[in-house]
This record gives sequence, structure tokens and C-alpha cells, in this order.
Amino acid sequence: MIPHSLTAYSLQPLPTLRAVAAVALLSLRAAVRSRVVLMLMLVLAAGVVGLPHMIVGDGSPASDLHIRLRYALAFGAGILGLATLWASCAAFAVEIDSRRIELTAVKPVHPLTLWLGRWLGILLLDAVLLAAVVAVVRWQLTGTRPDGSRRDAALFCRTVARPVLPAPEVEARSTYERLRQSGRLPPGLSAAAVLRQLTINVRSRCTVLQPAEHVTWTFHPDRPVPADGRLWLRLRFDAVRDVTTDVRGVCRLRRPGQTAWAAEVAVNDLTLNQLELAVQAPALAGARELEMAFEYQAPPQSAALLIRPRQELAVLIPAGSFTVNLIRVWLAHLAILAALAALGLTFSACFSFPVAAFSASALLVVVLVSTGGIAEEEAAMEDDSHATTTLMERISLAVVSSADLITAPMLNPEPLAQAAAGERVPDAELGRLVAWGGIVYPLILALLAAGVLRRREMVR
Amino acid sequence: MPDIIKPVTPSVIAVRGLRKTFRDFWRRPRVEAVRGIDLDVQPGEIFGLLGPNGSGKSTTIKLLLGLLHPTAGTIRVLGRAPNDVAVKARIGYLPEVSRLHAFLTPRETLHYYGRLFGLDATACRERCAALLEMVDLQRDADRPVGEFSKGMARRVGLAQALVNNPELLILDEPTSGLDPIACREVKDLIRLLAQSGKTILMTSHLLADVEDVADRIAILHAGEVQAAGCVADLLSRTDAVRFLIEGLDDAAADALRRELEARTGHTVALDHPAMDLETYFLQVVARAERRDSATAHFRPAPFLMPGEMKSEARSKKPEVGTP
Repeated sequence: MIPHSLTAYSLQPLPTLRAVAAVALLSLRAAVRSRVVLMLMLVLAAGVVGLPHMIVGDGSPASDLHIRLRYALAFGAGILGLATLWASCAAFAVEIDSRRIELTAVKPVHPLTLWLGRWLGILLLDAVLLAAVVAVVRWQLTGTRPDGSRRDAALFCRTVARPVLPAPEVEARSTYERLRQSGRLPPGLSAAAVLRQLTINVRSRCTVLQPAEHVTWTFHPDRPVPADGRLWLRLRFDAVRDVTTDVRGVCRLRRPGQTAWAAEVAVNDLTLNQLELAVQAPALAGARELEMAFEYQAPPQSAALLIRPRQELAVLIPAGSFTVNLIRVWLAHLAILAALAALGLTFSACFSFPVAAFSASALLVVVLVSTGGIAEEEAAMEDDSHATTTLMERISLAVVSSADLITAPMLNPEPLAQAAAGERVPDAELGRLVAWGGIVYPLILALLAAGVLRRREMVR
Repeated sequence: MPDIIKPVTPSVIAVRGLRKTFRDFWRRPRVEAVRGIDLDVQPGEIFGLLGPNGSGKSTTIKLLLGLLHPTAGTIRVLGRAPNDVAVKARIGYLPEVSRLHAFLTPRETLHYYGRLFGLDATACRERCAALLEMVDLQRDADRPVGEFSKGMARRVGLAQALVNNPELLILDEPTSGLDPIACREVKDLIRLLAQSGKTILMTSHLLADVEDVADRIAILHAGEVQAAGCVADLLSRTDAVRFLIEGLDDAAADALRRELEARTGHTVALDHPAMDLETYFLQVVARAERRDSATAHFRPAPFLMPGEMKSEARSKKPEVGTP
């Protein structure tokens, strides 16, 4: 029996859930029974299966992993992202344009329910297609190579511990105060501009190592070294003079406060290569604090080595299975797709399909451009009081900065890059992506769309 | 004030001073589609909105359904504003053109709209089956609606308008696209629904359709009510009298005419009564159907009828051609 009074109806969650499920099912049926989805599946299959064969790697399992995750999976996620954005842009716009919304709008359904149903339908389809893409990539990675070796030799999932150093902002502030007290601050620059530059400098500050010198860092991994003492060291050196220089030295590991080294591994490579050294140190099992020393053992005339500890030095500890990490990557990308679907649906509620699709795509481009570092440069330009900026530059600055600010929580993590490097997608980053992409942005956009749909005349 | 306002009992639809002006992108007035309409629709009556194309019938209906916002005036439907969610739960609507999802089957379509009304799966399934039987689409229940003819799509549209067992049924050109048999069946159904206590507002530019079923009508032109009232009152001629005598030959009829003219001093017209084409068509088809034992009749779904009419609805099989 349908409740007839306003109070009875509005307080019953069950009819609303049924309506949401009905709209979601309708979206799924529309997608599955249209040729667009078939074409999308073909494009995805061609990209995910074919693309790795078109890109030449060095033949190593790590290179194979890199190609399949960074290119094939990224291609799949990118295509799904565009399809999601455009499909969601069509959702309400096409219904309103064709006046098919007439029959739905006269039913006792709140616009928020319609929005939610559409969003869930698109998201469910995305979840299935993305899972299929991830599953195909996973299957390809674990297959056997032509030479008989297992491809999964590089399929790690590790947590990354950086050396314990003061936060760049704190160190930049301290340097700034020192410069200010000694009257050596650069003239004509605002405090913000100076601090920004100092922070950038601190982040990329090098430690210089002359031959026969050594340097020690401490690490606090977020999980203990496993019982078998298996871990990795990641380093990348630069050279003062030459493009490439021999890196000859030794890395040693121990628990802080102990005198004997628990593990020692030789380094013999060239600068500029990122080195990843596997270490087997059962003596470090259960350690939550590690001390690492590097001794530069090159001949005295050799060039000095440079290392940026904040960027190019890490200890990696095993943290779960690669498959679980891939599921985290799937979840992270699903959160991005959820945000795109929400954006498209809201544009669809506001504009006709061509306008919605064009505006949403343009916004996406602005966001991608702003994350390419342009926003930071423009912000620095803004801080520089001597810089003369035109109106157009100021408008572009405002647009890019706003887009950067609004989307920053979604765009900073790079789950694919992390998975390709054998790193576990951190809980905090995954949580932030899911919270913003799956809840905060959709909620804001849904409320906006519901407001528009309530006010908008559905038919003419 | 026209006869259209009869606030005897609380009106199902009460409209006062309704105006709708369509504006262009720059908010400049473009068309004034409705110009100060007043009307009341009473519970249980069939009310017809008549008018030529562009007279404001569909705009008025869309305003009543909350699909358009009025420029001025007030609208109360079932005692509330038309965009109230609780009111929408009590209304069934058949638009002028049944714009259904082409990829859904009639069963899925009815199930979808039933779920939008918050019906549970079992109730939805039962109502869908009953409605499909009512509109004679059981055999095509699992074919995509996109493959349907206009008449079949119209039947699905009618069924979806009844899925919530509405108190108020708004039908925009309900017989559009239907063959004469289906037209008659729809009109029979409309009468039965009204007998069961539902209020029906329908529009049509087919005057005969409205005349057959409506209790009261309003004729719109250029967005204004030009005439309104009970159909019988509006159409009856009190200044003339008609006799109907069966079995009278021409000579007797002529004698009678002369006698009447002599006595009254008025000119008397004599003719043979003719049935309308629809009745004749239906009689021919009914004969053919009796011969072929064909069955295609709208029988109201039992859930649409009140208790005492349920058994009748289950067993009743209206005769084609029965007015």
C-alpha cells in the first residue's frame, strides 16, 4: 500500500531505497543494452591487452610490471574516466531533452534519489569494468614468460619509510628566521615567496659525500621488519661533475644503539640509476627502528656524490600481497571515477548534453593542467610583487589555483605509480581518496544538482 | 465567474488565476500559454479539457503536475502544492506521447515505475501482471518497447499511469494513436475507474471521446476558458423538441409532419436517425470477433477496483461495441 500522507511517506526510508535501486538498475540496463558499452569494452580490451605489446621494455619483470600498470592499467582507467564523465553528462540532459523525464518527474521521487540512483548505476558499471581491467592485468603479470621464468618476480607490496628529518616547512621557517635576523633576506620579495622557495630548496637539498666519507640516517617504518628479515633499500645518487660516476660503497643496517651491523650490502653501480637493493637480515626481524649507513668507497680523485634524502632514499618493508595492493589501486581509481560521475551528473542536471560534456571536459583539462605544476609557478608569480601581470594572467591564475585547491585531495596520490614501484598504496592516501571522491564531492555535487532539478522546469 | 468553479466538496484540483508565460533565454516573455484559468475538479468526476492545438491544455496539465512552474496563480492538487512528493504518490499520469525507455520491456517498464512509487517486489510483480493483462499485452510483455507500435506503447503508458492505483488520474490525449476498438475500451475503462471513485482529468481534441465519458468539460482557447459546465447541459437544446418513433412508414411520417406544422405553426424537420461511425464500426468488428472467437478487451485490473467491484472486474468481459 502506498502511504498517502506527507509525513508517512517522507519518513519511510524503504520506498526511497527501492526507488534508488530502480533508477540504478535502469542505468545499468541502459548501459548494458546499448552498443556504446560494447564498444567501450572492445576499446578497453584492445588497450589493456594490446598496448603492452607496443611498448618496448628492458625485458625485466620490473619493466613488465611498469608497462602493464603505468600504461595498460592507466589507459584503461583513463578511457573509463572519459566514458564515465560523458555518460554521466548525458544522464539527465538527454532525458530532459527527449522529455522522457516527464514520466519520472511526476512520480514521488526526490531529485536526490534520482541523482543517487543514476550515480550508483554508473559507479556499479565502472566497478565491474575496472575490476575486469585489473583482473586482466593481474593475470598477465602472473603468467609465465616465454623463457619459463615467472613474471611475478617483481610483484611486491611494500611500505615505504623515509629517513627521519625535520619537516621541510619547519626547516624553511628556521632558515628564514636566520636570514631575517642577519638582514640577508632578498629585497622585494614577500615573506610567503621566500618561504615557498626555501621549502622547495629544503625538499631537494642534497647531502654531499666525498670519497671515503660516510653518512647515517634513521628510519621509522610504520610496520616491523618481517620475521625473515627481508627488506629493500632504495637509493639514487647524483654526481657533482660528470653525468655518470661510479658509485662504489657499502650500505649497512642495524637497530639504533647497537654496535654491530646486522646486514651489509655492496653498492656498485652508476649514478642516476635508481638502485633497489634486497637485504636479508634476520637479525632485524621485528625492528621498528632502523639505522642505515652508506660509506662511499671510491678512489680519492672520484667525484663527490649527491643524494637527496627526502626524495631519493627509502627503506621498503613487505606489507601484504600484491593482489591486495591491486585491489587498493582499484578502489582508489573507483573513487576518482565516482567523483567524475558526480561531476558529470551535476553538469547534466544544469545544462544540455553538449554544454555539460564540453564544460566538464574543459574543467577536467584545467584540473590536469593545474596539477602539472603550473599552479605552483603561478602562485610564486603572484607572490612576486615586482612581477607585472596582465588581467588575463590573473584570471588564469585564479582559475587554475581554484581548480588546484578544490581537487588537491583527489589528485596528489598516484596509486598506479606506487603499485608499479612495488609500494603499498598508503592507508591515509587511500582513505582520503575514497572519502573525497566517494563521499564529500558527490555529496556536495548531489545537493547542488538536487537544488537545480527542483527549480528547473523539466519540460516545455 | 464561469460554472467551472463548484466548490461543493473539497476539490481534488483547485486552480485560481493560473497564468503561464514562457520566456526566452534572456527572460523576455515569449508566449503566454495560459491566461488566468480558474477551475475545480470534484472527487470521482471525469473532467474533460477541450481545445484546439496550442490552446493551453497540455501546459495546464504540466502545471498541475508540477512539471512547469506557474507565472501567477495558485494550484492545489489533492489539497497540496503540485510538486509535493506525497501528492505525486496519489496521481497517475499518461502524457500526450508515451516516451518510454525503448530498451525496457513492458514488464520491466511497469516494474520500474512501480518501484519509483515504493512498491515492494511482490506487490509490484502482481500489479504488473494484472495491468499487462488489463491492456492485453501479456504476450508481448517481454519484448522491448522500442519494437512496439504507437498503440501498443500507448497501452504500456496507460498501464504505468495506473500502477500506483491513483486517486487522481490525469490523461493527456488518452486515445491518441489507438484504433477504434482500443479507444472504446479505454473509454470504458475510464468510466469504470470513475465509478470506482477515482477522479479523472483528461484532455483531447477528439470531441466525441470527451463527450462519451466526461461529466463536465472546459473548453480552452488561447489559454483562456471559453466555456465550461456539465456536458449534458452544454449540449442540450431547450428551444427544440425531437420525437423518436420506431416502425413508422414514410407516408405516416409525412402526414404527422404536416399535422404538427398545422398545429404549431413552426417548420418541422423529419429524418432517419443514424448511428455514429464508431458505433457502426464496433458492431461490425464485434460480429467478426464472435465469428473468430478473438478476445482483446480491457478488463480493469482487480487492484484498481474497490472491494465490492473486485469480483465484477475479475469476471466482467465487456462486449465490444457496447456503449
